[in-house]
Amino acid sequence: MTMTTHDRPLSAASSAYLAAVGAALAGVPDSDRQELLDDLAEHLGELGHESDTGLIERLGTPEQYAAELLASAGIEPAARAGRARLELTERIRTAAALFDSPGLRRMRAFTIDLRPGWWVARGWLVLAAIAARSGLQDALWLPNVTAKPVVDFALLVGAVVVSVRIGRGPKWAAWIATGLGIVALVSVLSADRSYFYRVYDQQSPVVPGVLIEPNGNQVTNIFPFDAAGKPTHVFLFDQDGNLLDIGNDEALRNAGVPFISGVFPQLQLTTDNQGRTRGVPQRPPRVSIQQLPQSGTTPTTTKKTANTVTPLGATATTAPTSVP
Amino acid sequence: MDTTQLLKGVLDLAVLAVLEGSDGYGYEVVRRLRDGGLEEVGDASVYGTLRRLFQAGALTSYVEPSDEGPHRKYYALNKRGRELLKTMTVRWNGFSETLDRLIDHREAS
Repeated sequence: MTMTTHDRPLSAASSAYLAAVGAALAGVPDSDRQELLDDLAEHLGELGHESDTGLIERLGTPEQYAAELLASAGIEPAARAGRARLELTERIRTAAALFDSPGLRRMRAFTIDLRPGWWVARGWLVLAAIAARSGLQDALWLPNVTAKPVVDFALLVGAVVVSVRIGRGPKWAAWIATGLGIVALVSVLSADRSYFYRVYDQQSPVVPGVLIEPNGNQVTNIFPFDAAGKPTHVFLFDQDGNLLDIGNDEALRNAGVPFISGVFPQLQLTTDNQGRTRGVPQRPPRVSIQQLPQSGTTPTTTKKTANTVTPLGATATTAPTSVP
Repeated sequence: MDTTQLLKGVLDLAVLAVLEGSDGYGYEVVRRLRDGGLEEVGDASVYGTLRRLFQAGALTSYVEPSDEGPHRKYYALNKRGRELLKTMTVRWNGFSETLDRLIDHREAS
């Protein structure tokens, strides 16, 4: 009656599934249990699935299979178990059945596929959490635990191997390791991140008085043109009515070059071969001026400046730009 | 409505019915039920039901070697199984007619 020999050995996944159902049927009288498992072995042989995923998708988890089997066979598990425990398992089984559907089975099978990835990540996370105590920068890529990359790498390999072995080991150890992994994940996520902001600040220096274009180039001179495209000189003021200093004034002053603040274009400092610094006029760039519409006259600024600054005692009183 | 809940009550009848024409082994019984339209029937439920019917003396079983794989445990209806099938069929038909009437009555009103 019992049937323990098979012409063809079961796949590794099938054997594991069979063993897991066997474990879930603990407490069932031995004769019943053996028959149920023999039937399942035959069935697994017929199904011929090679993967855990395929089996769970088809049959449910081993625990679900065992529960469904006992319920339909009308077998009371564990005669020695107390009434309370029976009621509890019954209630759990009923609750589990509510959440059992092909979609959920597929989802569960999918999460089981993802497990090895989590095991590897968990090994890394534990080391990263240790390294992250001195800031997140020490936790990234190769966690910096000992400050010796070779040792750190060996630790990382060791941690991943241990994590994977625990993942495949007994359930209670796997649960503890999963808890540890979650704690490590939380501590890595909450690690000190200020290092990265420091680096960012160093990459964008702000030097007072120097005009920087959006592309990072420094403005060293300004060349105004009139509407006819002729280079001209102007006074430039900032939003507060102060004469504009684009960062050259101090150098010009120190060089003893005669110059007027806020007048552009400015002289450019050059050093000749005898080490003397001189201010020389810079040739204006070649530009094309867009033709202005003829409706009005030449463009004029109608808005009067609040402060009328007259650094030369001249009559520059109306507008920041003057067009001759 | 969840078909799996409905199935629980009538799986015995369904299993007996698919074994009436010809004997079958577990996997085959599952396939006959699914091919017959009970796509949601669980493998474990079928095996459990076969086991229970066998222990209740409604089925006999015998083992046959198969060409391609493991030995197969075939189940066959015996006299008691046939009687059980007959009573359950009568009971089911009565139940089904009652329900049909209830549903029709509701739809008519």
